[in-house]
Formats: sequence, C-alpha cells, structure tokens
Amino acid sequence: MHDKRYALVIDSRKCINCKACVVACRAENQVPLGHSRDWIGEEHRGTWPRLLAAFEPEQCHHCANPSCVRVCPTGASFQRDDGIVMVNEQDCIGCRYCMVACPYNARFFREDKGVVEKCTLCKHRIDRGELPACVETCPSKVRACGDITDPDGKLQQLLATREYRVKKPQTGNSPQIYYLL
Amino acid sequence: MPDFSIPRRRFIQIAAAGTAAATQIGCGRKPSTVGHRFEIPTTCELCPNKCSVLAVVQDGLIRKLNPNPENPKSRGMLCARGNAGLLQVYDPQRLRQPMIRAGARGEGKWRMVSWDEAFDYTARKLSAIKEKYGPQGVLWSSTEAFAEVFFQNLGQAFGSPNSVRHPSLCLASVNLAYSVTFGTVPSFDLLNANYVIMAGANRFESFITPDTMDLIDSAMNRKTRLVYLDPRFTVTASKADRWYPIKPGSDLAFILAMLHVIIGEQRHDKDFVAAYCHGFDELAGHVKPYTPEWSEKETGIPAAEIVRIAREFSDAAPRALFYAGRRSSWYQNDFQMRRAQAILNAIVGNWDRQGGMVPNTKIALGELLILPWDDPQAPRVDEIEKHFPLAAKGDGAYLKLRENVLSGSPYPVKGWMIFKQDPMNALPDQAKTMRMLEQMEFVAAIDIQMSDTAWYADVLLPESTYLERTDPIEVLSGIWPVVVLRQRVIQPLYDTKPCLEIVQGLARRLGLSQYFDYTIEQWNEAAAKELPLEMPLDYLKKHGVFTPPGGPKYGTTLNPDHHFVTKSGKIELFSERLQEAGYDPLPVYQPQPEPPPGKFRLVVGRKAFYTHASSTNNPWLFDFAPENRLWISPRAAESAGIADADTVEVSSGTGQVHLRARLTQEIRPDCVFMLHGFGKRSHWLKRAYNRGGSDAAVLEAAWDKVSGNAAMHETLVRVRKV
Amino acid sequence: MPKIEWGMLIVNYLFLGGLSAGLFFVSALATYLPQREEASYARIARYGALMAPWPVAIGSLLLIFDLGSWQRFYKLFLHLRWQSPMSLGS
Repeated sequence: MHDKRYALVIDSRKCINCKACVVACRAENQVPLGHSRDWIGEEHRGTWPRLLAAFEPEQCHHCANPSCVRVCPTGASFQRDDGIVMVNEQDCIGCRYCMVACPYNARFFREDKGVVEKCTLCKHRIDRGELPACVETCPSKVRACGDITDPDGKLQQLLATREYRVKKPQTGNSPQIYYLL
Repeated sequence: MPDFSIPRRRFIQIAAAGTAAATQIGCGRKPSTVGHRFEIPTTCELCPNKCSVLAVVQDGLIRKLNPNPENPKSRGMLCARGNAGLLQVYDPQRLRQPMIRAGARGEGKWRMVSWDEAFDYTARKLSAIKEKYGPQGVLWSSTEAFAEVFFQNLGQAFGSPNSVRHPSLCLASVNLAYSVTFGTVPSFDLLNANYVIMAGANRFESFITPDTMDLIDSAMNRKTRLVYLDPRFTVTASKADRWYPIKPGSDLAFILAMLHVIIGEQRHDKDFVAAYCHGFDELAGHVKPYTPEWSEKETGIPAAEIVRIAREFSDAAPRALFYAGRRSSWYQNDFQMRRAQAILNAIVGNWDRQGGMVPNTKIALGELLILPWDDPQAPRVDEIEKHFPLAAKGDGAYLKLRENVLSGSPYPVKGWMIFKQDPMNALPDQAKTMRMLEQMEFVAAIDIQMSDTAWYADVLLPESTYLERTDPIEVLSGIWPVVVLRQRVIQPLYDTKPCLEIVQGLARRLGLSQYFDYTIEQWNEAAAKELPLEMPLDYLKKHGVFTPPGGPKYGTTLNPDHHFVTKSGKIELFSERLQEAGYDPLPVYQPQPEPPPGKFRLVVGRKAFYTHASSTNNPWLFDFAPENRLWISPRAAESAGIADADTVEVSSGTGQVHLRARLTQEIRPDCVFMLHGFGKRSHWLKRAYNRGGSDAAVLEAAWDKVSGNAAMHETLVRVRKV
Repeated sequence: MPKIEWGMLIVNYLFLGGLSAGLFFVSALATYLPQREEASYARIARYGALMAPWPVAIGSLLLIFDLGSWQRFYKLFLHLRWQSPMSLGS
C-alpha cells in the first residue's frame, strides 16, 4: 500500500498563453489582484524573421522534499500525506522564510491577511473528486493532474510517451511538476 | 477578489432571492446544498462561442464559473473571459438603473430615473421621429445575441427597414464568398485535418473556439502540419510548423499561385471536380498567369516555398484545409480573396469529408406563434440592394449606412436605438461615428456598462447581465450541432431588465404590445417542443445543453442528387451569380500599395482575454493588458527615434491617437499593430479610461466592394514620437 | 530577479544584533584581559555590559514587527523545527 502523491504533468508546447488558468485560479481561490498562485512564463527569442516564442505554466511544484516546509519555524507550512504542500493560516506568522527558501518563487505574501499563500492544487476540489481549476479550465488541456505513484495512472502514461524535465533539480527539492519536452 | 460590497439589507434580499430562484429553476447538476452551494448550468456570453458553464452559487453569490463538460463544442473548457464573466455582475462600475442625459452629450451628467420614465421618454421621442420622418427615421442597430431577435422584431414592428448588425464589421465577406461558391457557409473540421493553412486567423491568440482546441490538439498530438501567414509573429506563428511574414494584402496572390501549381501539375481531385464543380476550365485558364515567381514578388514568400506548400497541400487532401478565417474585414477586395480560398478548398475535394469543410447541420426548433406585423414600407437607408446586391440584407452594410445617414440621402435618419453594441469603437473612423451620433435627435443604448457609445447617448436602458437573465434557447449549428439554454443564475442585483422586458416596456408605449405578448418561458417552451426529448425544457434547465446523439456527420451532400444552392446547382468555381451582378466571376488580383517612406500599414487584431472593446474594463482581464501599445519593429523605430515605451502619435487621414510604443522583433518593419478596444472615453470605465489608444479613431473607412464588409487594414499611418 | 522579502527591518536587526555582540565582546575583553586594575578598562567593561543588551532587544522587536502576523510571534517558541535555522535561532 503506497502513499499516493499528487503531481502535475505539463505539456508546454500546447500552452497558448491564454490566461484561462490564471483567471480560473483567481476566481476559485479568491486571489487578489497583484498576486497569482499560477502564472505563465514567457520566452521570446530571435531576430526578425527567425523568431521563437514559448510559454510555460508554473505554480507551486508541491515538491517531495519541500524546502519551504523544512524552514518554516512554526510548522505552518506542512505537507499532506498525498504530497500537497499547504499553509496553515492560523500558525503562519508571516516571517516569509518559506518565500526565501522556495526555488520557484511560488509563494507570495498576503498583506491583507499577514500570511503567506500559494497554490494548494485546489485541494478542496481534489477532495471532492474534481480537478484543480487550472487543469479543468484549460482550452489546450496543458496540465494533467493525478497520482504520480500510480503505475497505470494517466501521469505515468504521459511520462512514458515523452522525455521530460523538472525545474532546478539540483536543489534537491524533488519538484513534482514534470514538463514534457 | 470581486468587490462584493453590497448594502447589507440588499445582500440578505439577494441571498434569499438567489436560493429561491435556484430552487425555482430546478436543481443544478449537483443538488446538494452543502453550505447553500449549488451549480446552475447556463451559457456564457463573453464571446460568440457561447460555451456551456456551470455557475457555482454559494450563499446567494456567484463564486465561480466552471466549464460544463456536457457540451462537445466547448469541450469542457472555459477561457479567461469566461472565468472573468462573473465580474460583469459584481463590478461596481456597471449600469444599475435607467438614466436620462442631464447635460450635453458626452458631458457625463445623468439623471437616475425609473423604468417608467425611461420608457415613456424613449417612446415619446421615437414617436416624434416617426411623425416627422417616418418609421425609417429610426435606426435599430444590434450585435448578435440570443435575445437580439426581440430587439430586431421591435424595430420591424415599429416599421423601420433600417436594421444593421455586426457582420459588415466582421465576417460578411468570408460568409458571402463561401455562400456564393458552395451555397452555404461550412465549418472546418480541424480536429481531423492533416494539413492546415491559416492566413491571418490567429486562432491561438485572438479567440478561443473549438477550432482553437482542435487545432492545438491536432498540431501537437497528431502532427497536423500548420502553415501560417501573417505580417506578425503571433502565438499562432510560434506554434506553426512554418510561418511566413507575408506582405499584407497579398494573400490572394499566394492562393492564386497555389491554384496555378495544383492545376498545372494536375494535383486537383479530378473526380470530385467533374462530379460537383462548375467552371473548372475557366478557372484553369484564369490562373495560368499567376505563377509562383510572380507571387513571390507580391507576397515576399519564395516561389520554391509556394510550390512546396501547394504540393504538400494537395498531397494531404482531402484532409487539407485552407482555413477561411473569421474577422475578414481586411481589404476592399477581401471577398475575392476568400472566394479564392473557397475555390482552392473545392478543387482538392475536401468538401463534406473528414478533415475538410463540412456543411453545418442545424437542429429544428419550434416557434412561438406571434402576431405578424406589416413589413416596413420604406427602402433601406444604406441602399444595400443597389450597392451590395449580393450581401445579406438584414445585416446591412454599416459603413455605407453611416455615409448615407451623414449625407441625409436617400432620407434622414434621426433616431438610433442600439442594443449590445459600441459603434464608437466598432466602426473605423470614430470621428464620423461621432458626427452620425451628433446629428441624431435621439439615441438610446441598451447595454450592461457605460460603453463609449452609451456615454454619448440620451437614454440608457440597462440590461441585466447574462448571469441575471434567461434568454431564448439557441441552436449552435456546426459539424455537430447542439442546443443551449441560458438561464438566470441569480436575481438581478440592480434595477436592470432582460432585453425582452425592455422591448415589452417600449412596445407597450408604442402601441405594439400585441406583438410581444409572451414571456421568455413561453418562448422557450415553444422552441424546445420540437426537440427529441421527453421534457425538453426541463432537460435543458438541468443540463444547460442538449447534444443530439450520433456525433458529426460527413458526406451527406456527396451524392449526385444533391443540389447546391447556386445557379448551376453545383459548386461554383466560376460564379455565374457574380458575373450576372457585374463582379469578377473569378478572383482577380489587386495589389495593395506599399506604404511610402515614413508611413506604415496599420494592422489591427484581437487578444482572447478581451472581447473587442467590451471587456477592457473587467478587473481580472484588464490586469493582463491595462493599455495597448503600438507594435513597431526596432529597425523602423530607430530611424524614427522611438525607444521602447515612448509615447508616440499615430496619425492618419481621420485622426490621431497617442499610445506607448512596444519595440518588438515580432512584426514586419513596414507595419505597425494596435490591439483593438482601448482609448476609452467613458469616464465610468474607470480602469480603462484613457488608457492606450483607440484604433477606431485612426482607422480610415473603407469597405469590400462586393459584401460591404469594413476593410480595416487599408490605413497607412504616420508614427512620430511626442 | 525575485522580489526581496526581507527588507530594511531585517537589515537593521542584523546591524543591531552585531552591535550588541560587539558591545558584549568588548566588555568581556575589558573584563578578562587587563593585567592591572585600570579604571578605564573597568569603565569599558561596565558600560559595555550595561549597553550591550539594548540594541539586540530593539532588533528583536524589529524582527517581531517584520512578521506578517506579528501577533502570533509566540508560536515561534511553541514549535521546534530542527531543520529550520529560524526555529533554532528562536
């Protein structure tokens, strides 16, 4: 009996930078303007007419070995058994150490609440058997969310079809967003 | 975070009403009321796609809009606009109550009035104009909407022949071109195509439709080849297999050369052409001079590439498509260019096949029997039968209409009723629209926000937002048609009404109420009756969408008995109808002038998180692009002494605007680009007010010769630093 | 370039902490090193010891107020997270 672990597999080639996921997350999680729990990285290269543009969605990687959880002095940052990294707002004192520790700048500080916030993989939806808002709303179906430990699950199926990479593996965080190449 | 700041008493009213409304409508898909949370299926209205949504209501407030997976057209997705739709309801800057202008037009002084007063006043003014100028003295202009039919019917019952809609600002030329060729306008089966050529249709950036989703899926998963032509390196260009920065206005040269190669090398589908097409020999002769070498000079695309594409295209046929595009308001001979596309698609035999063009299927809806009114007596003011005899009459030719209204000939038009439209931004040459408005004795706008047009109106009749009203059920026709319902999710927050009730209020005072003597419920009962379901309307209320079983159907017209709705009964490569009407029966190329030194061609476009000019002020969408910037290539900017983010003046024959420059490699040096929908004049649109520049203010008016469709890429502008 | 999360309050805390440490150190030197009982060394030792705790005390206050939810600062002392330098430091 293994512990399940939720992860994301992202096919950035299909991302068209339409911002549906950003708005869906904002609506679903009441994220105020000025911050985003998820965002689209943009890369534009080249000179006319040899040009390239690429778009890459990103959010909290829900690392298997999260540095943000390790450095939290009060234990407000914690990880669920299913891998989702969360912030307990009652215990958070807003020291922002986790923000400094996160290699991906996934966290942000809520001035109005005095606590740190980030993507929760829409755990309230997952617990209801639904997909995270960003995954569901996407026109290109760029993201896939599921149990990475399931050998027959859709994530493993996707990873079997193509090469993939994770961001900043050298940190030792074991991030759980797999970007298909 | 949406500003849910509503006075407490009103909030309790709303919460109670919301719960009551929900139980009245019938359970959403999830009848559980955990913490008073339920989902109501309805239909989005942020763009013409009309995706199915599930509105999540909790404690009387709409918390989230989720995609409804039951609609195969919207494919279980909801784009940025769709997600931001709930802010239309809660934006404090929306219209809340009828208003009558108190100061001068555009001064921004308003009197808040009751509906009775607004209706009385409007009806009085309309009747006065009718007295003096005849019913044709009132123009009824609207944009497509489920409820548009009520507004149009009112205009007709009033006796005015002058209805004008949006197609002549949008897709009239492409629709007419395909109609003339095939007798109908088909859909494009991008999901199954293997080779797609898209010219300027920025499907991955300007608009999110099933085509977008199908194409990204095909291109990325099935290895469909995408060839893309555009003077800009757009998101679509970045995803295409090959992108060519085609010289603007030369698409027709490209297509004619493709025809030349395909016919010259006998690569067309001979059987199909013989069985279903008319005029092939004339076509073959016509394209002989349009060689790839000639085309290279016009388009800037190497001749060898054109030949290669033509060969690849015909090899991939019938699963090869030259995508028609949608907003085809480009040049004065756009119609002929789209005709050439249609002809190219025809001769490779992709008609009514998987991966090709497929004629749309409809679903028959019932009709409520309503009292008929007399047809309007007077001829249309845009004289569309005379100037554009082949164009769709009821849609009108907007720019010609404006010309005639301004000149007063053939007769004066002094009243303007506007529904869900912002002509100040939608029409090129804003100064002329302003003059047209000023010469009106009465202008009333039905809108949900204080658009730039509403700002200059005399009466504002606020419509309830799409989440606050029930609309007529509608068929979304296509390769696999569906029927959708838009039903009220919450009671209107403010003193607004749905279009039908606004029409009824006016009709009562105009002596026309007998023509509008029904409720929306009755209308929908009658419409839904014909559906092959037990209790059709209840089904729609529960699911939001009805998808007939069976899936897409191909090949229904591919039999020898099928008669195409054309003169010859066949697909007209050579068009008899065009010849009769005095137009070129086969597309003849007309080059666009090169911009002289110091000038640029202004190209306009869209971004899929904005709907034209109407959602610029939505807080969640505005966040992505608070202003539009002028795209200009660094090479061109340098010679003009313009640095990135400098404010520049863009000027043309009609006006000038100021906006900041964006130096980018991603545009041809001879072009500049502006995103549509900025430079707002309405002070109520506090976020978007005066940000960026309005393309409408600087575009010169021109139109396609055959369809009357606006031609919006013909303007050459000067750009200088200010 | 990531946003700077720990700003002037933390910078000043670090400075003040160092100041206190310096004061303590000099005071200790003045207490234990001198061979003879010179009044000046005794004074340095004395005043150093008197002044030393204050900068770091103020610095600690700065630390507390830098917190987003400073009213919960006591939670720092309720949990020990041995992998967190901040917890150990607290």
